[in-house]
Amino acid sequence: MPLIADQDPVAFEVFYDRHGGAAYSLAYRIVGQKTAAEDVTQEAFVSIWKSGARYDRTRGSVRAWTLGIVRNRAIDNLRREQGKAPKLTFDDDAILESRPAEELTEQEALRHEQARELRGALDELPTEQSRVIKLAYFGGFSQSEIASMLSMPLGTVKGRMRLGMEKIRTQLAEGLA
Amino acid sequence: MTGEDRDLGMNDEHLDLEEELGAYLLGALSPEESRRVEQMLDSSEPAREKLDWMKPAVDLLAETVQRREPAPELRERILGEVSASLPAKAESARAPRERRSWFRIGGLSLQPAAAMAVVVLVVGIAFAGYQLGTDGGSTTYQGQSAKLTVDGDDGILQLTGVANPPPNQEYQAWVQRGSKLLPSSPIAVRKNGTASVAIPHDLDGAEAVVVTTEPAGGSRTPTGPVLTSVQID
Repeated sequence: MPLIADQDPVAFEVFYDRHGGAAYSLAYRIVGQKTAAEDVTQEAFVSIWKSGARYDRTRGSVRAWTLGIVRNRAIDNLRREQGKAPKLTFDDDAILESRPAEELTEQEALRHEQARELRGALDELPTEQSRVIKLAYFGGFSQSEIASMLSMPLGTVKGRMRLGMEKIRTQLAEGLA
Repeated sequence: MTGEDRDLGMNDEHLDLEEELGAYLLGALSPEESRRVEQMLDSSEPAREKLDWMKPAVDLLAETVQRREPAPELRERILGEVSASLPAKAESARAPRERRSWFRIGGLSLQPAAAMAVVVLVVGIAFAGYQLGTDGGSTTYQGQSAKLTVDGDDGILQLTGVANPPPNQEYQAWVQRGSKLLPSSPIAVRKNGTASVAIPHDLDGAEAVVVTTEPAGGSRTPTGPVLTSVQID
């Protein structure tokens, strides 16, 4: 990241190759269209380049930071272009990892395994808990909006979101132990 | 609220806000709620610890999606936009002095272990590798478990039989000029123990490319042990 901050284009190329696939996948999941996902991904990476990659290590991994930027831009795109149609029909359980396992780096393999753990934890949640979490994360909806969409009290949404997040975090910790 | 909570100075509102940390990380709170959570985080270490504990779950949500490969054209567009934003002089034919602004030169202070590593490296440099040959304008140098192909001023470093770095650490390449090691690219190791990375810096006049183990995110000066090196001569 220091090299990208110094406007090193080859370092940026390595950075894109490392995180571009995950970024595009997340953008596609949120906006649901190839062209929009490409636009979001391009905007996110170019903004990282032009801003000098102001990454703060205390806030988490480079990967999480990058995907956070992509998510924010994807949700902005969703609000601006598509009226925030809720994406409830995606089958996130389908894992179409195109690269053979032996080509994954150790970090990628660890992330893959952790993502699988988290996916399993989400599957085990009651539907009403996983639904509110997915609406918030992939749809960009606030708790108030979710309560309105699902015709339930705000307090119920808050409780389900809290319980769901604590459950998956606890299960993730147990899976990593 | 337990007695311990009272001892920690927590009140009902604080505990209510702590329960919203997951929603805060998901971005699902109203602006006013987010502001109150942030005020709490500023003043509460236990709340910040809980936030740190919760964060990996939210970060990993991004990785649970169906993996799709972007079109190669997207990569070209992004890198093209990056290239177009560079000042013209950074892309012109290189004189070594012009590229110097991309290097961190001078003022490098090596930590004792790294300094010793450089001394050992300089002493052992005669045994560190040899030139394999020249092919079509590029030259290949061999080191221990490493090969450097230099074409013009840039190079590609390839590693084989490499163990993965320890947790929270990564391998980083450096360009050696005299006693100085100038930071270059981070290196990701594939599961089969190989790695390839571009060395984008001016290698004209460089003595070696060195790989060390550094904290994740890289370092501006070497702090860890030398993994391998390739002599350029």
